[in-house]
Amino acid sequence: MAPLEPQEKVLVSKDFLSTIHGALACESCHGGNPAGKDKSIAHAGFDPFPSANNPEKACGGCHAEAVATAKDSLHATLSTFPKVLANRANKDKWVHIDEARKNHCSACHTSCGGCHVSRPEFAQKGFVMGHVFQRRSDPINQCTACHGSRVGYEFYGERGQGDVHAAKAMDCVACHPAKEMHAAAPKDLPGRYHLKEMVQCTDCHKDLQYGSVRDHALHIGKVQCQVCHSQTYVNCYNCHVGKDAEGTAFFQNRREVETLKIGLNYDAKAPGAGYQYMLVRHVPSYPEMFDFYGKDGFTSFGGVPTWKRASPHNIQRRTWQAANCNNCHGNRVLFLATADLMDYEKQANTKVVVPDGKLPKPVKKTQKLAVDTSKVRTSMVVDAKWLHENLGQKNVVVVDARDRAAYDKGHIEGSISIDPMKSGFRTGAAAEKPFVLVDHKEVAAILGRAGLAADDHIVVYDQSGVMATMLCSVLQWAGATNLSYLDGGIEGWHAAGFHTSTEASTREERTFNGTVQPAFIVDSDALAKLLGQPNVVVLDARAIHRVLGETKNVMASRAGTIPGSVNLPLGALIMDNGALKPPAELLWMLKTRGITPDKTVITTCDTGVAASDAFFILRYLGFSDVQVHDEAWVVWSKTR
Amino acid sequence: MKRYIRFNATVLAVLLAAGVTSTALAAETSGCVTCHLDKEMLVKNLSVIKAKKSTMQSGSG
Repeated sequence: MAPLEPQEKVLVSKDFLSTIHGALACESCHGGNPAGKDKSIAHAGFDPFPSANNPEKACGGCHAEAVATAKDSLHATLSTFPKVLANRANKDKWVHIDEARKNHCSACHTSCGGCHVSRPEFAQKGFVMGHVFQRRSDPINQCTACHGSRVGYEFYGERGQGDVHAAKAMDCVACHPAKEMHAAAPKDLPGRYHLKEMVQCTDCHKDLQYGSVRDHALHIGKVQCQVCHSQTYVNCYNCHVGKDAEGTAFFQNRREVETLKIGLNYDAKAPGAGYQYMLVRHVPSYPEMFDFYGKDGFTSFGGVPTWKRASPHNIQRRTWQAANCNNCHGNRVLFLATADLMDYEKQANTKVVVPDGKLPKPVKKTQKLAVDTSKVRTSMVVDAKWLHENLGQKNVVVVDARDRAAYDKGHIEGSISIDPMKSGFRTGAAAEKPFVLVDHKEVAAILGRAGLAADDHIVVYDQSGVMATMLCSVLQWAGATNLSYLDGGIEGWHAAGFHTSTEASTREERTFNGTVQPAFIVDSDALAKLLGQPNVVVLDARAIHRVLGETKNVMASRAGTIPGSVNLPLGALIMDNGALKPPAELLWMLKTRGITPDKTVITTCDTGVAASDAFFILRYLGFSDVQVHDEAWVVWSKTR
Repeated sequence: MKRYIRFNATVLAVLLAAGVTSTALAAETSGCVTCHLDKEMLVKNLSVIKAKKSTMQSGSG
């Protein structure tokens, strides 16, 4: 979410004047001098954030009942933060820890206004609707402006498939109403899950044990709902905080991993949490986190788990771990093990680790999943070990698809740099049809100048998979015949223990000499004629908020989606660090959306990047007829 | 929802009784909106204050 321009932040809409709040004099909430003709006079005594600074006066006059509790809510006070920190702290160093907490952790709190009229401070403020107050918080501009990475991304499919509740156009308030959001947090609240007003899945999904789903009856009371209904989610490691040379506070989250882990429930006293197994997420805390403020702050680090109860906002009715009993039962990798822990956190997680003896036993008779992996083009994906062993082999050319600055900081030795966004493969933003592939001869010339030939074994990598798989799709279209994507990208390379180089590599110019594959691209006219045909699926790889029309690309004429398209966000196909899930899991997940290899699949998105990525992954999975709609929504929305 | 409507109706009634609302709304008569409804004036008069974020910050937080 881009920050608002300074004037947008404070521009009042005329619509506001006819609202209930518009019936109040500005100064009744904000103070200041409305008669002042000069800004400095008008703003004397002005309070830009009255609900944060004095909620009783600003809001309590009319909303006394809500303010009475909301001023002590978790959103306002973050009261569980000092509680958790104190449990890990060296009491003699509390002054330093509390200073760090105030400078860093407390930046996220919000107030009445941050949820009902403007973006919260963490999201750099500014009116959401020209100062028109909203009863329901805006999920994009308010809720996920703060709860972004771990909630917003997962809810809207910027990581994973997204959440079924988001796809049903439910907003945050649909599950988290005022009763919960305005609830006062008791002073001794041990953690947010102990808030008695917190929403439970069973508030809506009642009496599941009596329903028609056998597995509900078998698992209720034993496992948290999310164990079966969540997808992989992000886990953070090793957060450092400090201040730079200018005194600006910063944090550095040094490692983020997308995975899913089941742990033992170490906190069954939380309301509705009587189960034995639950999902756990790694939190960024670690013993040296606040060392900038004073060493040895967390001498009791083992007092609180670092793998903590998680409620990922990426619920799906059907998930891979629940697709077959033995995808979970007996699957050691899915359950938190001591081997998953760093040395510093072993004591902290003794109650969370699932010992072998508590692993659910495999089920003897299960129905096999009908997933055919025999057509997967396995050579299109290689891992770091393979690449390390084959570096320097004749015809193996490694291409770094990150931007040049990232390449210069360190790349796989011998790799050349091709940034697909800046290499001239696509038209520019000002073109009549922006961001579509240019003539194939031009693309072939660019590839030749970079020293590539169509019959080279070209291995492409990047940071997140997005640019690398896009470049792979361009190369396939241009006629490359032996192409591989490096699974896990540069992070996977580092994780495997291999080094990088800062010495730039170039190759002699060659003739690319590929046979272009025009059938891999479909334009909007051709796509329009294919819509509705029984064996054609249009896969829209954008995030859910785009498909719902809640947001739009700045280049698009309007928000919306191609009629009849099936939404599967790109995050479902490529994980955060560019790693791929096993082909069987990807094929099964695609099948749940009606996307099967026997169909013609046309991939689309906003500007053609995610569509190209999805094209490459589907080709890897063995789909024979896949086409990229590279004009994408930006062009479609202008012409239809 | 019913409760909300009832609440708003009560607020309006109180405001009307206090003489705060009439055909001329209070915020509309405030000098504040002279500037804050005028985008061009705001563009001219607002100094661009970029949010300060350290270049050392990394990760999603």
